[in-house]
This record gives sequence, structure tokens and C-alpha cells, in this order.
Amino acid sequence: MNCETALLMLHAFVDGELSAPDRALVDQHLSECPSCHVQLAKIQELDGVLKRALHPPAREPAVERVLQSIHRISESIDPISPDHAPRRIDRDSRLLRGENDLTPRGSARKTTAGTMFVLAITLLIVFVVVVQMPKENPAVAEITMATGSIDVRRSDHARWTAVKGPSVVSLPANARIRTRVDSLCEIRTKSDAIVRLNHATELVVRRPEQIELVTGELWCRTPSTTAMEISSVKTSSRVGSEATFTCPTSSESQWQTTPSNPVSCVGVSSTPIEVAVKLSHENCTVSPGETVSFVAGTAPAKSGYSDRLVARAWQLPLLLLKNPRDPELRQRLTELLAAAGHSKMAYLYDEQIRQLGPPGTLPLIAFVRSSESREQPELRHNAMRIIADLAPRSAEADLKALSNDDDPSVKQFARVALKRLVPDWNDTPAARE
Amino acid sequence: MSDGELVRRVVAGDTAAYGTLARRWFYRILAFCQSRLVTHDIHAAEDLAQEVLIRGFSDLRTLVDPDHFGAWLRGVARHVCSDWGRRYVREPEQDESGTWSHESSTAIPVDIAAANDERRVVLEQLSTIPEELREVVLLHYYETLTYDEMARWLGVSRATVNERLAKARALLRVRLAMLRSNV
Repeated sequence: MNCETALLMLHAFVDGELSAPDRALVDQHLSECPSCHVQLAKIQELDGVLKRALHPPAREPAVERVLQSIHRISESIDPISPDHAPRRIDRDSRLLRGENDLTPRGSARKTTAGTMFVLAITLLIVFVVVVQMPKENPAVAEITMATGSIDVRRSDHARWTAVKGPSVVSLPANARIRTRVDSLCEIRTKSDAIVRLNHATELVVRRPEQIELVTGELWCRTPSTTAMEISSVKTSSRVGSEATFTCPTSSESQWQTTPSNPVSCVGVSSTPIEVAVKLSHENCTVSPGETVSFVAGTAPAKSGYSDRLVARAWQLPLLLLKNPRDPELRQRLTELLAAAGHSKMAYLYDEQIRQLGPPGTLPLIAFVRSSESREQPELRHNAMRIIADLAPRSAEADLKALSNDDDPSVKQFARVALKRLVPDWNDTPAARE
Repeated sequence: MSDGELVRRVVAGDTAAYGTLARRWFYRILAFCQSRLVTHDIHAAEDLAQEVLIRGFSDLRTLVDPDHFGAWLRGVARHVCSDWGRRYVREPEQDESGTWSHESSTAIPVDIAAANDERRVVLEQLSTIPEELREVVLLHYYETLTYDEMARWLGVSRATVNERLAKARALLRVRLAMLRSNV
């Protein structure tokens, strides 16, 4: 064995990872080579330092904390504190009370009677305590996700408490929730509405179908069965004392405000939504990308245009907490990919895009499949020319969908790509499924 | 009991079975999390590891193949770590009076201080080597896994594990030696 081979095996030698024959070979070399022996000593010395410095931390306390957290997840917070839980009576306690008949038959009878007596007293205490204890309001929502520490105040008289991590936390009526400058969170109401809070946002959950935005920005998606009322109490008479809006069922909207500024609604849905303005008893249409500001006593002011993807981009860290197969996450990623494809087609030359090869066609495919691309048929056709030549086999499902497109050119290019990728592909309705 | 059997028990309602899973995978997840943090704060890494295990419990029903719990949990760890970012600062806690709490400043014995100092220095230097080398070192010393076990966990070959451990030790030896010569 030469030194080069021995040196390669020294770490495995120190770690006991060599087979017996290899170990014997290294041993023999070390006995003959002072230089390699010095190297071995250095590795052993370092190994000792690392063993001392990197001794593993105790595992049980951490595991115990995990189990406590999952216990809370499994059973939700128990309103009865451990101090009120029934106590077991043990043998020593009975002896202290003078119950010293410990014959087997006698002790069994006394045990049964004593246990029944204690159980009756305990049930009475528990009943009295439960009746006397102030009942917490039932939960109207729960925190389902958070990207960092958030603060919760369960009632107007309670203190703010910090909640960290992915533990699901129930929220009673009138609970306040506040994100920090570096955290986001999502809550789901009992009416199945989903509300996401941006950084430095505070809101009050009044009822499952009513929330009050104190400050910051939130996104709301309402279910098909229940509308959502969003209100905001103002501190400046310039913007009116209170603003209340109703988001219709099956809608998506984004709201921003501070106590001294008007409430604004950003149209992040792909279709216009009708927002009911309570004070004026009128509806206001918020179109995709529009920002509408509401000031009491004046007509809603439409200002500016925001790209829907950009306006919702702050939610991405929350979406990335979801399962990779989550439909919303996949839809959002597809939208981002389509935006990238659109940019490529709009700003790059054909040759530049082709140089990216087959992987470069994936954003183009997403763009062509998006509803927004139908307003730009020429870009779609140019993209399809590149896709026809370069799309990879993994895009087969997308290409089959495009082979049924309304646009004849898109349809034709898709079929060219499919024939290239699947030699025995037949251009029949069944094959295009 | 295999991971698959334990996962099926947890899904059926036996949360205690998750404790067994958590103990089995804790050090590997800790090594993963600690290698992803730039800071050498072990407490931050422990917090992250706990978050991973809690998230693993919450998302357990999404696990398609219970027998591959370990690899799946590694994916969960990846998401958790990317959320917390590569620079995690431990937030000080406020006590009821609204003032920030401070750590005790009582003196500690010299030998414990020296050991803590060596640990601190090694952790500092460990945070300066590449992430994939860091993880192999932590795996090896936290859980004394064999090269084959580390290779399966990391999804690389045994030879790659050997190479990464050798490179990590070489880098650490040089950096620790430079520190000593500067003292």
C-alpha cells in the first residue's frame, strides 16, 4: 500500500469503518511509514477535540417539549387547569389519615368505599369549579400557519402572549392577533374563510364571518356559503369614524389600512368582485389589479394598478409551508412560471430563448396555458414554435392539453411536438386526452 | 418497531408513538438544522429541530409512504429551515414587568469554562465551513452513525461521506491551528 492510498483511508480507519482486511493493510503501512503515522496522530487528536466539543445535547427535554406541543394540537387547550384535576389517593395518604387496616379482605372493602367517597367529593368539587369558572368564548377561528412569532390577545382584558411555530391555536370571539415585522400568519374561521396577515398587521376576529382590521394588510378568501364582513375603526375624522365592507362569497380580496388612513381594497382576484359598502348602502366593483380607497362621505376612489402576482407575493413564505402538492401552491407557482414565460417572449430574442434548451420551454408552456396569454396571440404562436422544437418529454401532459386548444396554430404546434416526443402518438381525440 | 408501523399508530391516534419517532430522528434533524444555520447557536438549532418534529406530526397524514418517514421528515426540515432563514437571532423574552430578562452572571468553575470555551471555538469554526461538510461532521459526532447510514440519510455514496468528513476535518484542523497560533 502506498502513502496516497493509506492517507485516503485514514479517516475511515480512525472511525472504525474499514473492513478487517483493509484495516490490516493500513496497520502494516502505518508501522512502516512515520509520515503517515504523524498524519494519523493529527486526525486522532482532532477527533478527540471534536468528540469533546460536539457531544450531543440532551435529547429527552426537547422530545418532551415536542410531545407537549403535539398533545395540545391533538386535544386543544383544556380550560381546566391541572390544579383542579382529580388527585389519586395513594397508600401513604391513607395511612396518614389513620386507615391502618391492611388485611387483604378488609383493605379491599375499605379501598372501594374510600375510593367511592373520594370520587364523589372530587366530582362535587369539579362541578362547583366548572360552574363558577368564567367560561371562555367558543372558538370562532384558529391560527393554522405562521412563519415566525405572532402575538395573540384572547380577550380585551387579557395580556398579549407570543405564539411561535406551526401549532394550531384556537381563537375565541373578539381575540386580537398581531404579526411582527418578520412574521406572517394564516387563520381559518369557523365559516371556512381564510385570512392571511402581512407583516406588522393587527386584526380582531369578532365572529366567524366578521373581522376588524386594525392596521396593516390582509388577504381574505371567502367560502361559497358565507360572505365576510371587514371593518376598520378610524382615529382620524378625515377618513370617517368607521368603515365596514362585505366581501361576497367565493371571492378573493386584499385590504390595507392604518388607524389614520382610509381603507383600501386591492383587486387580487382574476375577476371583478362587488364589495358592499355598509355606510353608503352601495356596491363598489373592484376590478383585477385595481386599488380602491374608501373615505366616508365620498365616492370610492380608484387609484393605481398593481400586478396581481406582485400584490400577493408577500404570501409566498406562507404558501411554501404547505405540502408541495397543495393546489393553491401549485397554482401560484404556475402563475409565476407563466409570468416568467411572458417576460421571456416579450424581451428576449428567439435565439436567446432557444439557447436555454428544453428546460427553458417550461415557463413558455405555462405562459401559453395561462388565460392572460390569450390576449396576445402572436406571443403565443412564437412561444409554440419554440415549444414544438424543444419541449421535453415531461411536458407531454401539457402538450396534450394544448393539442385541444381553441387556437388552430397552438393546436398544430402542440401536435408537432407530440409527434416528435412520442413516435407512435396518434392524432386522435382519445390520444389527446 | 419500524418507522412505518409507528407512523400508522400515530395516524390511528397513538400520539405516544410519535415520541419514539421523535427520539429516533432527533439528532439527525438537529444536525440538519444546525448545519443550515450560519449562527453557531445550538439553542436556535434545537428550537428549529423541535419545530420540524412538531410540523412532522401536524402534516403526518400527507405522508404517502410511512416506511420512508425519515426522508420525508428531511423534506419537512428543509421547508422549516428555509422559513427561518439562514440568519436566526434568538429573541429575548420579556418578563411580566416588561423588562428584558438577562442570563445569570454567576461564576463557573475553570474547567467547565475551558470546556465551554473549546466548544464555542469549535462551533464557531464549524459555522465557517461549507454546509454539506458541516452536516456530515454533526451527524458523525451527534449520533455516531456509520458511513453507510449517513450515506442513506444524505442520499449520497459512502465514498462521498468519507470525502466530506475528511475535507471537513482538514479545514477544521487548519482553522483551529491558526487560532492557537494567534493566541
